Amino acid sequence: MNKDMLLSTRAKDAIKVALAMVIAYAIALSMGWDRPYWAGLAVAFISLETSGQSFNKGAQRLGGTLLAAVAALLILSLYPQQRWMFMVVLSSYVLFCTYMKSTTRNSYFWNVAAFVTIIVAVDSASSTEPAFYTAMLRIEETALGVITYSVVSAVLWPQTSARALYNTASQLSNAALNLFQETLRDEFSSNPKNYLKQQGNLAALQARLDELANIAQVESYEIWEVHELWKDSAQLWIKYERTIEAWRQNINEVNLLEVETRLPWFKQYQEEIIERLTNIARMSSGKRVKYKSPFRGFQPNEIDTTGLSHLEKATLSLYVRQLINIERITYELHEIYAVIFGFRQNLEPQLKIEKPTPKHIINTGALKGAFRAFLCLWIAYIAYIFAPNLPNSSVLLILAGVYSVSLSTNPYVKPSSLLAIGVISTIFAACIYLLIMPHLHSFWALGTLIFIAVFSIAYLFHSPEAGLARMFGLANFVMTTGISNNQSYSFSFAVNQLLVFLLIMGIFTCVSTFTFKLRPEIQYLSLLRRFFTSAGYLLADQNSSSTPQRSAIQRYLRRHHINEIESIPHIMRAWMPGISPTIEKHELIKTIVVLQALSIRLSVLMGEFKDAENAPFYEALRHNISGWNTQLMNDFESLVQEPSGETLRAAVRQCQIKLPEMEDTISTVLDEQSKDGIELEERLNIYRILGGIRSVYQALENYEEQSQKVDWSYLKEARF
Amino acid sequence: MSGYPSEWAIGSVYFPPLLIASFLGLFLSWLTSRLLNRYRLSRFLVYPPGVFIALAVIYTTLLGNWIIPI
Repeated sequence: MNKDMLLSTRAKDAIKVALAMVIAYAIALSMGWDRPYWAGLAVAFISLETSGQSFNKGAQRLGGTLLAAVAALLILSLYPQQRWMFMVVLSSYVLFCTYMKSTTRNSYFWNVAAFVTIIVAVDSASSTEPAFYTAMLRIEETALGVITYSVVSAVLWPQTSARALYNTASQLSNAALNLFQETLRDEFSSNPKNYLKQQGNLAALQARLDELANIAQVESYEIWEVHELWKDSAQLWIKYERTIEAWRQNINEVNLLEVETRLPWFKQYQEEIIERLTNIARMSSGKRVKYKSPFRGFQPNEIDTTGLSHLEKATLSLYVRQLINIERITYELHEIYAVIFGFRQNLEPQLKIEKPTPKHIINTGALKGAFRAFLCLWIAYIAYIFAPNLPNSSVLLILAGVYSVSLSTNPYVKPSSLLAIGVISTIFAACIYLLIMPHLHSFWALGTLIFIAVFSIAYLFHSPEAGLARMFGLANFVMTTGISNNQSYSFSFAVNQLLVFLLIMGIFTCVSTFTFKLRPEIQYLSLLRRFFTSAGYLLADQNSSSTPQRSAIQRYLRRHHINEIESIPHIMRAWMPGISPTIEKHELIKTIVVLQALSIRLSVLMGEFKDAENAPFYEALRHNISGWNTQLMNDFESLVQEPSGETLRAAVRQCQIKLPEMEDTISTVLDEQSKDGIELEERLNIYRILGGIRSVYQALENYEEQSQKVDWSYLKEARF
Repeated sequence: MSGYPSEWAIGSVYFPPLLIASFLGLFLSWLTSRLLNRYRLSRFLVYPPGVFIALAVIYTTLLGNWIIPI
């Protein structure tokens, strides 16, 4: 029997963490270092699924510790006797690092850089040991923990990121193929729950591929050679999901137009895309594929529009545009995977993958999280200064910083859920510390205890959903037991640990409740308002931009609002689990789906407006388009005042009257302009703008319909 | 109950009576807020978080006056 089959992956991972923890303690204790639990903490926090992921997190932890040591020594040397200036600089530095944590790729580096600075600076300020000694000790112990876990995970059942990357790529391409086929079958209409699940699965796999592509390149030379292509593929999968969603939203309207007969190439198109996605899936799962260059000879402008009204033509041209986008993305993915898996030497020279441009916007969510950490730190500092009788007040200040920085990116987590995890894990660790540890007389016995305790925690809380419990369990075990060469036992130490934790939770809850109103129902309504404000702003901006040159501030605001409409539906979805169970969540989720559709339609419309700028045909229609935009803007403004959609009923009726008007205007302008000969692309662009406006109206109509099913008064009710 | 404030001894640790009374006050306040939510009575409140704090203070004071002298 294969010996690997005796143990599950879960057990193997738990053994690795437990063994690395025992080794790290053994080395630190035998070297006579103070605070060996810092090495234990490093092991607990960097242990991840693959060696590459762990090594990457370990490197970030070490890098963050180095920066923190320098920052702490600098702050201490600048303000050794000025306690308020010391705190102003320290808290501002923590604010900066916490913001960077949420907005950059190396989030863990900034997380560690923030909280280790608090640890070194406050610990040095409140103890007799020199600051330099504390900083060096922290670096030593962190390095020990990182190296120990890296060696153990590389030697014992090594799990490489390269293999995980190939598996994820294969699962992702299969999921993409399924989603394409289900969209073709219009699965969303018959089984929306299943369709949304598939979509969520695709998004999760995309995020994993992006993460693994970055990590595997440092672990394997094979990946390093083509790492740019892996990153390109991750970007293309993101575009793929968005384009499929945009396409899906048009399907219902286009199905009425008998699309198969209107687009003579459509059947061949479907077969070709399915073949490409199948090939990608086969290539990524290591199967043999007979490579042939994908067929690209479709004639997308070959559309039979006889008997169609202008509005129907508009819908069809928008639909064809999405098909063209899917074709281009799948072609690029096919060619990239062919190069990655050695079926081609290199890419066609004309194939250039568009790199994502940095957004350069202030992330308001990240800023709020950073201010939350900043306020928690200040409250704990004031308590430290003015309430000297508090138990372990320096530990209170340190842990208030550690918890608030670490939780800054997760506003969705309820303090009450943290309370239960924290209290149970502290009591578990206190029982070991008070009842078992005093009876141990050798490192063998202590090592066995550490192994069993760490193995149990890591094994029980293995799943990603239990990540918080695992983190609290391991951290509280290490902190409460406080294993060192001069071990002492005190009941008050364990109780003080618990009291400090309760005080921190109190501070954290007060800051979250009284300053940021982190109640999911309030957030849901406020996000809805923010969404409609941004939508209204974008249309107003489009109307006012008769001069193509926008100022830097206007460009910034536009980027900000585009980001708002794209990201808000996702943020709303993240708040859903916290919404009170007495509220009908199903209808709220459906409202988010409608909002997501509106978001994509607005983005598409903005893109079409951008393409049309400076075109003479668009200039002729600018006045009318501006009028339609104003109507939409008013609708959005009323939704900002009252997101329940009650005000929309009249607007939707008005829109049904306006649409034929729009059609007449287009028809008149087309007749006038056709004497000068309009280019086909320009004409299609105008159709797409018309289709875009219509689809936004359609989404608003859906919103109005959906909003009637939501019990808004119950949602708005004041609650604890 | 002697009526005089005295520390609570749990193991070798002495807890101040105010700490015990405030923990109980918070717990009772939490319980009341759950009940108010359950029966949809919280909708009559202008600012529930403020009411929560006020309830905690009231309960702590009541406990401190009659049950755990502080």
